[in-house]
Amino acid sequence: MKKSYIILGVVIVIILAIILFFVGKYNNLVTLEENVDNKYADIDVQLERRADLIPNLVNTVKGYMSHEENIIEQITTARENLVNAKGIEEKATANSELSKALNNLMVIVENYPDLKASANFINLQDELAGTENRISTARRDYNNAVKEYNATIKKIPTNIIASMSGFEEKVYFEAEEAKTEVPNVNFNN
Amino acid sequence: MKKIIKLCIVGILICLLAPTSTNALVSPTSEFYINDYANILSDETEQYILNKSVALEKETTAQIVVVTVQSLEGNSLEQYATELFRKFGIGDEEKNNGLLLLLALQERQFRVEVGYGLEGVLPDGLTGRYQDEYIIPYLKNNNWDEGIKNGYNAFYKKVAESYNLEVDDIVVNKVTTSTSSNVDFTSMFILFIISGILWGRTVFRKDKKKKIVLPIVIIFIAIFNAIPIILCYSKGVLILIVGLIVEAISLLVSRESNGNSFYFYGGGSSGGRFGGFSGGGGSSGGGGSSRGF
Repeated sequence: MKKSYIILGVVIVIILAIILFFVGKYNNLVTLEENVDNKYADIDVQLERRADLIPNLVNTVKGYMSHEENIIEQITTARENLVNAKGIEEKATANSELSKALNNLMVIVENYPDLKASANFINLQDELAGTENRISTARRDYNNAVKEYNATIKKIPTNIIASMSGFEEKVYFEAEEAKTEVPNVNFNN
Repeated sequence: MKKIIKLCIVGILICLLAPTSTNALVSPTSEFYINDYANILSDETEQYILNKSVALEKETTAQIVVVTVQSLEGNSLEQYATELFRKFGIGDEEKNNGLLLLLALQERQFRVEVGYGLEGVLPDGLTGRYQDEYIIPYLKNNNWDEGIKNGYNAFYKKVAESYNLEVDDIVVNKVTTSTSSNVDFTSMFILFIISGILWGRTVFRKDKKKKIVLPIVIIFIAIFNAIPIILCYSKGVLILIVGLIVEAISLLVSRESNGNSFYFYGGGSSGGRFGGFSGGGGSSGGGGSSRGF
């Protein structure tokens, strides 16, 4: 009689321990996923901020180079694509496109010393460079969070919980090489 | 066998650690607020920045940290700055009100990195403009002490003002190309005029306390007057003579309007706690701006 109680007690304790173990793992997954979502939101904020800066830039630039419609068109389109992009991959691509367009603009700006020296343009360029840098920081943070999360859901025994409760692998925010180079304002001339 | 296992473990550890962090990051010194790894700043400047930053942290929890490094060792300035900022934990953990001024000597680059909490006070555009106006012109001439101190003052002022602190005693020199020497002369002559007025008001005082107060006041004024004389002397004797004439005129003028009393404000001394400071755990999202010089 006594023996069976002890066995029953041990079994209950083991079951409880297993349940608690899995609950802990599950909660950990929830935290990790929440972290990924958070970091994603950070990227979003910065992308939006970048898109918000573009109209201002376009207006400033237009005043100095009215006949360079091509590049202005390119930037405006790229901005629109970024604003309308859905999902991480689409956003990453749109952002790279915008970076390319902006880089092209910066090359053309070299031919307009007045524009280059104007306080308004320098200010905008700083804001843009700052935002780009914030995007790359947010991207790094996001990718680190994704890395941790993805690694966790693939590991035994968390993978069992993950597949049972529908935790799916997250996508990295890929940046093209050109993107990581934050344009510096050069004042040497 | 044991050796092999040990080697394997070390190897794995190295592989795990290497790609995740920037290796070249410097660690905070015990002074925390000033980390002159490139060894380009004078002791006075370091002490000045340390005292100011310690006081600011006490009053507002905001932290301003200056770091100079010999080289970024291949890292991008922006990433280096952000990671350094987070490693140091500059600013309060909740408020993230930290500010990092980073100079990379070999690359000749300067970056101002702003914590989340100060981004409203110091938007990127402003940090860029401050660098152009207060720091970079000095750094271009390898004038490290002046550039860092002047820039530090400019940012300190902005941050302190946002917390409603009194910052009238902080002088920031705005460098507007080619007119900078004129600004110097004007301020010198203003010093002469003030000296002259002080002389006048003391020497021509009429009340009874004059006898007691006079010696003390004269010592103060002598010290006060010594500043413009020394400054002018280094710029040329002619300027000194003109300055002294200006002083004499203002002395005579002030005779007409002599007042009764005036006060001297002593410069407050700060003791400073020693034995090491540390970051509050603040973070940055990469805000700020960069310049080459």
